Amino acid sequence: MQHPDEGTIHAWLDGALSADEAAQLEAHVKDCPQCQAAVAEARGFIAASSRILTALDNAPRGVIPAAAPRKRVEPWVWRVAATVLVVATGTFVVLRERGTTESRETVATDSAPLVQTKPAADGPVAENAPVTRPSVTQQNAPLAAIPSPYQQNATAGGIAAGPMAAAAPSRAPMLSRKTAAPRGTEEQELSAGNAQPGARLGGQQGAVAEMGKASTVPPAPASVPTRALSEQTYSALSAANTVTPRQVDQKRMIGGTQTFYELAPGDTVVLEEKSNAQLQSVVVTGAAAGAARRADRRAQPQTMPATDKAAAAPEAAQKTVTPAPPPSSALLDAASLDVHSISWLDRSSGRVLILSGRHTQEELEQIRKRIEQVRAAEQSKKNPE
Amino acid sequence: MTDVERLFRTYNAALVRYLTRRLGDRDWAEEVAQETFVRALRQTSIQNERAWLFAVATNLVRDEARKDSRRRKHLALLAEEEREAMAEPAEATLERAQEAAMARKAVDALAERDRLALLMREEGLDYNEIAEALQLSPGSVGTTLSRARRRLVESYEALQKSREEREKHAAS
Repeated sequence: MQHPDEGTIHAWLDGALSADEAAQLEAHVKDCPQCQAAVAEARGFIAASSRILTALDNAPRGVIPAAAPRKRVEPWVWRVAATVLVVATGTFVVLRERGTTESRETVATDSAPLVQTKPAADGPVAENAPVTRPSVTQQNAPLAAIPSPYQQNATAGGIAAGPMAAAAPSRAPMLSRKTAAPRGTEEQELSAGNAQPGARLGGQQGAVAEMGKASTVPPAPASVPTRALSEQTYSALSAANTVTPRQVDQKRMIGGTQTFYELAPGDTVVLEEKSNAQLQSVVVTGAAAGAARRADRRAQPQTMPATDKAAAAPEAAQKTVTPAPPPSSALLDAASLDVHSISWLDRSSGRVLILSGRHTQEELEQIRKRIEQVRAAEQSKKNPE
Repeated sequence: MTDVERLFRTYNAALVRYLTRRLGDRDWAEEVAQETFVRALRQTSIQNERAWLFAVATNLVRDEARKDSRRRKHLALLAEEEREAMAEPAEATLERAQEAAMARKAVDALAERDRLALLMREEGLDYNEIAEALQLSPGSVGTTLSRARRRLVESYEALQKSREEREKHAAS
């Protein structure tokens, strides 16, 4: 007998051959190592394809007919939140540097009007995306009352989105100038007309508020000025230096997750986990921000009519007539409040981790170590081997 | 009536599984299966029940696929699955979703006749039934099946390999 072809071998294994044919084939295979290998291979293919096909059995329902509408967060909320975050990271690096030399005294006392900064770089962003800024004061209740550094982070990032994206492009690689410009205006439009900040927040404010609600950080008294808050958390940190960070909340977002760790009541840091890392080495944010800072220092603060009521808090709504604006740098410092961030590549998961909080970089390194211990402990709990 | 009941009890599970694998959606699969049994009701006599049912179901799917809205919904679902597979970090779920997505891709890469023959075989149809349902010569079923299995496994393994390489690249 000639070597049977693959189809015949499959037919034999499937029991589709007549008794005669099967006997013939069997006799041949017994003495033919080549055909024995072919039969083994065919058996492998049969088993493997059955296994692959069973993966299709957990098919979802609900393609037809009218599926129950799934509750999804509006895509724009994610986009806005992501933009705010990315820009915020870059913003703070620049602001931190500025904050070391410039005054902060005006920070917490002034109910700041809407201000537009215009980078000297005069990028397309600065021209196309005039970005309004609400005040960053203790009266700005919905945002400032929550002492999470992330809140501060996001608020300031949203505030300064347009100009800062131009001033610190190296800090915000995900945000191209092109996307930054329309985003800024869109947020404005979204939030326009929402005079009740507590009732319904639009645009970036809405996204920020949502995240604030999700995190379980206890709100500080609204009367505590943000600067005092900063000092409070610093002392809290020194007391908490030996405390294990406690995970209080976790949020998923595009391209990663955010984990909120509480070091002490009211003292939280945010760990961002980026999936699909492209980085090959450890990156310390802030080291290269000098150039961007110098460029930004030449920026000319400009006032803008306070048209965007929704972006402003109750205080701003009451005082539609804005007083003379303080220097933009002071405002930005108010927002930054020494929030720093460090980032590194987690080799085990291949993800970029970004840790930010109202701490110095040295402290963040300490916190990072402790968080990594916590994470390692959780990991080993999940996978005992 | 009792005859259709018997048909339903005997073949519904296999038919739904076959259609689910074919369509990627269980609701759709069940709808097509029901329609198949409704057609069987109108039939006065069926020679080979199983071959007849699978052939009718296959043709119904072919007709269904012409309806654009259905197809669009299906595509939308696949896209959503892919998005969710990317956004879902839970390891076990991710793993399963990725396996299902690769299996789907590998199955979709097969030629239609190979795919149908293989899916019918998996539901226990013998070579004659497959030949009848798909209008093939019984002698060519073995060749069709061997080709389908080899290609399915090879393209699945290729997808698996490229995924592993991507992960290795990301981790390094």
